[in-house]
Amino acid sequence: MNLALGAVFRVLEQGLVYAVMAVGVYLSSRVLDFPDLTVDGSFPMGAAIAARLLIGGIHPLVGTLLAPVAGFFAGAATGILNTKLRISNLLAGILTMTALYSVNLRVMGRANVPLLRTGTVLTVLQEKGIPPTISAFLLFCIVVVVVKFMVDVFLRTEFGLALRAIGDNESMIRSLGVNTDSMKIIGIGIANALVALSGALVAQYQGFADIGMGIGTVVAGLASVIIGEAIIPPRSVGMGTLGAITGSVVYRLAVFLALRLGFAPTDLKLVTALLVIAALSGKSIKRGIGIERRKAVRNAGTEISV
Amino acid sequence: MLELKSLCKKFQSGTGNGRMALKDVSLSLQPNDFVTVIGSNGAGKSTLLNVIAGVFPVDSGQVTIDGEDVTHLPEHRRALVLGRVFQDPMQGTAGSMSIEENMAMAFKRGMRRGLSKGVSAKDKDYFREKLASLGLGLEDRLQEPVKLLSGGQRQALALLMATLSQPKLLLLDEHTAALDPRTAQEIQELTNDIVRRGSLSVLMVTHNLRLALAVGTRTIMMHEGEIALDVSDPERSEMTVSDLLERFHDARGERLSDDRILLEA
Repeated sequence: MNLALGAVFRVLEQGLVYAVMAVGVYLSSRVLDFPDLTVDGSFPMGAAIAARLLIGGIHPLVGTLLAPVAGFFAGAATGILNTKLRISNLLAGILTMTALYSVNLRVMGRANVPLLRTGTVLTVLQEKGIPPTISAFLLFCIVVVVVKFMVDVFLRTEFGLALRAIGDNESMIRSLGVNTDSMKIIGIGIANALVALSGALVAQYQGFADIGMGIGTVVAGLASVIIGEAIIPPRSVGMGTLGAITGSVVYRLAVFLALRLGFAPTDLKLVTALLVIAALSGKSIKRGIGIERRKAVRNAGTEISV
Repeated sequence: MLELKSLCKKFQSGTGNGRMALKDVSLSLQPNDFVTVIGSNGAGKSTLLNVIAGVFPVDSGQVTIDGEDVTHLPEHRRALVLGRVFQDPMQGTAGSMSIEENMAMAFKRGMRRGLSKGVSAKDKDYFREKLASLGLGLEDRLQEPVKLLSGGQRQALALLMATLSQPKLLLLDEHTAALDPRTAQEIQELTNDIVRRGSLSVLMVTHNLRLALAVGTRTIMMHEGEIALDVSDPERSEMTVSDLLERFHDARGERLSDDRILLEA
């Protein structure tokens, strides 16, 4: 009983720490309508930078907060490839992601950096007297609440409104005087800053940074966003981010249950991909047989974007 | 106000032969000019509007708005002085965002967008007052997403948004063509109202010759990338549609092959 409870607690922690990434994916895929594959590179980048800085003796808090700065530039690079060099959004993300693989290896110096003997944000909390059993949960809760609050407020600012309009009706907001190129670059940058922050926290949580830890991040993020939308219809900005967070927790729970059902951990990426395919094709099948045809047509833009 | 000098624009077709969409087009608008633009399909009407708005660059020529040469300015840098409404009501508004958010975005036309609140309480009162002037009850639905509105309501909102921050020039690209006749008439009346109150200069593209003569102060007809005809009030106010086509015949020495389309549309 206690063991099972502990396991569920771990799942909650994972759901929350990855929720920061899911909010980033929500920003790019839903708010900006930009299918951003940079994520598979910016997530391990956040981990790599935090790991490198931490073993270099930098304070864990500083190391953790520098990761999103790097993530911002990674995302901005994809934005520049797309808007200034006119490379398609998918390819722009793939190019940055591929380049980041080398960058991340350079940053880490090797494929895997253990963080077991260095201080992390978690040990900082524990030194302050917070019991190790709840330190991660507490920290990730705080981070998620702060991130959600900041993103919600940001998306309601003048700048945020324009950003949302890009994903909704780009030619309109351009005709209202917004430089959509710069906005996209900044928007994709912010999305990847969150992804890198998530990566930095995950590395400290699991005790290592690994060059391969980014594989499948984007799909997991999309799965979270899609699950979240199913549970909480994104009628407002606040519900959109809440959905991504909820979706992340439910997704990790589903992964946990899949493992309990006897799936090999190595099969999980396949399971996740199938889940996303099922969620997306469910809409197309409904459309195919005519259910919700009008709704589907109206939402076609957002569906295709996935 | 608006000064177009020898504008040329060529589009590359797939076969390698370019098509001249604008051939040496010059046009001068005075403040408060309300110009209706007519012409058959492919005559260059929409190209003219797109070139003025900066959607794509011209091959040669010069665009001056209010004394400023904007020929090489990108679209978003011209927005401060330009309002625009498109044929498709979807195109002028952001459907997933609320009415007040759409209004707030239009209110900031061409200005810096910072991190202050997108829709302030003070703005709301102003938006409510402006929306009330449409007489559609939208002032009580500020929080509703725009996608819930009908095509006519959405176009009325688009029109209001295009003129909210008092642009110098309003470009209307067949903005009533996609609406049912009654709604089209309402939107047209609303347009006339807004233009009168805001004393704007207007370029309005329309397929409807009768409408072209009935509203505005001046009518130009485009044909094969050129301005074939340019008539102003008071001369224009006496003209009928057949006078207009006769004038075209005299000027070009040819009959419009698709008169019927022009008349019926």
